[in-house]
Amino acid sequence: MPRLGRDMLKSADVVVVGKGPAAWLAAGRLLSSGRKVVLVYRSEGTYPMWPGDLSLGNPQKNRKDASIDDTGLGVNEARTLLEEVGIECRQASDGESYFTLTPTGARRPTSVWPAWMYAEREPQDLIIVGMRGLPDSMPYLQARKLKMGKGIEVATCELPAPPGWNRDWGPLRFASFIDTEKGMSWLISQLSTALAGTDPSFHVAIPQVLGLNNTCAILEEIEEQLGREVHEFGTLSPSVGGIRIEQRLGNWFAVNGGRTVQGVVASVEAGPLVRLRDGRTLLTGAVVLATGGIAGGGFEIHPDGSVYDPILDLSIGKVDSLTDFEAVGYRSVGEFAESKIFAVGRSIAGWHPNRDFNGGAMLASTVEQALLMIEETA
Amino acid sequence: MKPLAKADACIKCSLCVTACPVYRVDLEFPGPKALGPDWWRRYEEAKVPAMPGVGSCTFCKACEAACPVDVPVAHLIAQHKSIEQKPLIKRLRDLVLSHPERLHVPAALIKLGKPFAPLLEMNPKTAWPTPSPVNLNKAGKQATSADNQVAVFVDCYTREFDSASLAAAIAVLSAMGYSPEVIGKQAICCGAAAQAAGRVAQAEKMAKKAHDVVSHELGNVVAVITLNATCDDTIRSEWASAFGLPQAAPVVSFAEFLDEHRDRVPDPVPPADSIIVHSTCRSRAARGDGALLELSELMGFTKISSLGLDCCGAAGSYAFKREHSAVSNKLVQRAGRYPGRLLVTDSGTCGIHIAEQTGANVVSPAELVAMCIGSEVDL
Repeated sequence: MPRLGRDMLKSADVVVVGKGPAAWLAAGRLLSSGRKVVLVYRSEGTYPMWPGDLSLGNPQKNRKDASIDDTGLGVNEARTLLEEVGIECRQASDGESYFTLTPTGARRPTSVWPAWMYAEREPQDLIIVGMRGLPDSMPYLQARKLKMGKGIEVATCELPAPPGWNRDWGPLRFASFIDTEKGMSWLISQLSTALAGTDPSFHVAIPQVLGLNNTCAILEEIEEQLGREVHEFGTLSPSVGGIRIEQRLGNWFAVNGGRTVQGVVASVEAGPLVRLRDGRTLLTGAVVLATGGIAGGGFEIHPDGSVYDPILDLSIGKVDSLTDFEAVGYRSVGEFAESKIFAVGRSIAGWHPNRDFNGGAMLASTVEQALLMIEETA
Repeated sequence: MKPLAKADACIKCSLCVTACPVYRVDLEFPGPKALGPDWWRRYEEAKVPAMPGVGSCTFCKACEAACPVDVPVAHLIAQHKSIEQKPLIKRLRDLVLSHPERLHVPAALIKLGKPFAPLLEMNPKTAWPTPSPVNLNKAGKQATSADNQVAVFVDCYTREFDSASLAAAIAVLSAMGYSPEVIGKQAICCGAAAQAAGRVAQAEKMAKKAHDVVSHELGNVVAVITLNATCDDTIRSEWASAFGLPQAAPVVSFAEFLDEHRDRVPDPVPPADSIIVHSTCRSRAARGDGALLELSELMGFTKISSLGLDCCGAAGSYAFKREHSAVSNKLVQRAGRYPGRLLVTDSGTCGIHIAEQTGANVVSPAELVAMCIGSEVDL
């Protein structure tokens, strides 16, 4: 007797395993190219910890050990997808360098960023807006670091804590409040007081809490009421920018025929067949593993430091210290290409975005390579 | 308190908070991390009292689905709810609402009208269901052979308020050449309502009783088909994971069953081009999204959109409780208004709430299919 609901067979052109930025980018691009895609995930990915731009790192330093220069691959395609799901983006032209601003006042190279985000080419005069009660909002320290040795002026101001605020409020709660009508008018009146009398030629950067659903409307309203443009810089986690993007990507994916399945992948077998722990099985043309490797929990680290991949039933290597993390992972996107399994994002050894600030370049590039190989094998 | 696996595994990443729908609309709500794992650690240490706001959790389980280390966040919050001090009238109300297998009692009260509602701490401003009890003697047929026999699980809501969906399901399954048998003729409840309300021990007792009845009534069926996503998730996953009850037969939702047996579905004629889909929070947390979208495609709709809500705020009896009025309305109002548009969702109470607040014409998956394939429905 068939065991329906347990041994469900559902066919897909590609099964993507994971729910972080690399998984969504792969799944979204495949769907956009007309493939039938199923995204299988165990839990939430790291989008809510990511401000939302495609960070570039330093192209000269990226992946010193890589045999090919793959920084910059897939960036245009990633932007196209973001725009398709309704996120207006900006992009540096060839040869140009743009930088986003971190909450500690560092400048970080970027290649594509949502229109709501602050990015500059050269250091420029700036007003940094702080928010009282927002964790890690430190406009004075941020300003001090930012202007150091750059010959620019960086002014700061601080908005008071919002009405109803308590010490448990994080960036997401600020954003939910500013998303409401009451929150938006509070913000605009506070901003207009705080910015009164400041030099209108200065750009204004504010923490990334300008709503979740109504961000564009809020920014337009600020521009109309205050007569100046305001952009956001990413906060520490949780990151409202990533939540905004994932929300839009997820809705777009669902209504355009993408399917998501919650479950734990037990194994990927020849076929390829993706088996879930609860017995469901998915038959597919190719598998994209975007499980995050060590950092995302897709690999198990055992107490003796050995690293194991439970999906492919493989020993991956050994870690003795945190500095080994970059070296442990699949050796390349196409290491298992013959089995029609492709690995993307943080699962690939050699990328070290925590050190190199190039997470965006990593996922754009690895996804691009995987998609080209899927195209070839199809 | 019942010990739960991985109760103490929280790594404080806050992803559960980013996934929580109530946290977004209720600025007083402390969020799943504070109410679940954080509270649990303090309770284990010093038996701290319940935190204000714990009752506002809808038990949608989005937090649990988000957790990277499998902390039973929603179940910890359910235990947290169980120590909340409440006035007698609310305790009585919760007792009644956590026994939906006795829904004929509130169904009778509904006929009395809404003026009494505030006295019982019920929400008089929300739409209530209209009693429409199933005639269980007429429902279902005898099987003709083992390999075409399926069981339809009659949940409490369907039993008292939604005979139309059961009739539609039976008509559709019959048109597909199956012999549907109705289980749960006896008034049983899977325990979902008690569990969501934090009446954990009671939920377990009810689940065990229902499990006994279902196992006893179950013949040699191809599948047990559910009509309500919350009961589906409860029977499919909670019975095993929370109460250790083995599945006697594969459990599958009506929409998934049709998807798997699409070759047997008669040619559909959709009544319109477009349809809006709302997959309830519990179905998404349990299995992922897509079954209703797939069903709409199968029925021939060409413009399919999603309501885009994680939780609509109905959450079983949640929206009917007076103190949840504002939050449950805010949750659904994020979707906007869709007067007169056809909308399909996989839970009856969610359907009422969504219909009232969006103006949409809401149908269940079974009603949708019956409508599209023109099955005769009589019950």
